[in-house]
Amino acid sequence: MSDDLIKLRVVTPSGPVVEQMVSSITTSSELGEFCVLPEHRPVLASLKPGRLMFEMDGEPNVYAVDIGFFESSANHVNVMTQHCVSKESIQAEIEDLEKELGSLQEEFSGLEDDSPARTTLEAGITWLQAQLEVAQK
Amino acid sequence: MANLKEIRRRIASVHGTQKITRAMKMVAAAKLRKAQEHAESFRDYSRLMSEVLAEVASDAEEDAHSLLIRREPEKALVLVISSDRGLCGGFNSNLNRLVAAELNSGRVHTDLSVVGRKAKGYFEHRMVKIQTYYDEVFDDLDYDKAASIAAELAKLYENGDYDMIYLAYNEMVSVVSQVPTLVQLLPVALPEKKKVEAGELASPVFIFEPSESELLAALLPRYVEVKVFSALLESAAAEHAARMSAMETATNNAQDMIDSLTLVYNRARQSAITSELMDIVGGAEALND
Repeated sequence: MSDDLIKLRVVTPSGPVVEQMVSSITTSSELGEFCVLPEHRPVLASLKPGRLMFEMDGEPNVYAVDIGFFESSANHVNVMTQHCVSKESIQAEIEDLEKELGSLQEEFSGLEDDSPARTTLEAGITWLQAQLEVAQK
Repeated sequence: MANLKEIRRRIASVHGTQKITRAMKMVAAAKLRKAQEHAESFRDYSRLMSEVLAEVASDAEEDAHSLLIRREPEKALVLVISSDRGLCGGFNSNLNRLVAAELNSGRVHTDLSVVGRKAKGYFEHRMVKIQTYYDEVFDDLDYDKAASIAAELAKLYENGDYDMIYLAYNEMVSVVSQVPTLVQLLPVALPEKKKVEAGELASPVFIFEPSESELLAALLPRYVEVKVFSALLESAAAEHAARMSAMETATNNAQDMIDSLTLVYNRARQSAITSELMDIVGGAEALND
């Protein structure tokens, strides 16, 4: 019954990543984790880097998302985020990610306090940490 | 009459040039298609971003965020988005002229930041100071590059270094028409909320998480990034389109030149044959006498 499902779309700057019907979505906003079921009241939330999970036929699908926004209305959910990767593909290259995180952290600790590259690096580090966290859960 | 060998050499040289322009046209066409796909896949993200911002900002005050506050313009900054390579017709020169006209209008003190080697060369040659030059943006253009440029511009605005920030880039109207445009980036002009048409449901009342003003503060910097990235993508596609039509024209011109040179060549050859025949006939007649 399509009435009991939510149409989920995850869109990143390089195109849509997920487009499918799901029965529930769980993710984390600035205020903490929340879950959206069909017929939920419209929500507009700002997401923090972390886990995005949705269920279809009892099968959970886990993705890592970067900072972004969550908009739901009338059983349509749009997630806009800068990056979105599935748990499987993170696990496939987990060693590379760990190495990258290490080198970014090193670069970050060597920076001056008011360097303009700071924010960009910080965002990169948070995103990598979020991915690793999702993979290990 | 030019000698035959000389004309043959020129025809061969024009042929060589034509081969190059034809190849460049094909390469530009392939790159244009890729750039258009890139822009297409970004369109969804940028449309959703505008919609969400319109929703959140629908009843925000003008001074709700530092990126929204309007100030009396005293200093302005223009980010000029040109290309790294030439041979694309009037693509860069039209844009540079538009920016130069804005600089010379003298309304407010205007500084420049530049993307792309072509505008850098043009303004450096005219002794215009370039605030920041962003290098190698178009090699492997991605969202993160646009995001770091946008973050820098937003910081300049918030610090009060500039009261207005504009983007100058070539807008791609169609494959054959690129129009240089100057648009305001900061302060952010909020997108219009979608009009509710008769028969449609009025837009729902959202639960905002966190509060509306915190959401606005999170959204605005992202929106500036989206605007910068859109302009970069648009300019990249327009550049390839401009190069494609410039190379198409060059190929056609080369063909016209080859045609007229071939005509000259044939005429010269014919007259050489005629004069040789005349010599033979003249010689034979002399023997008969």
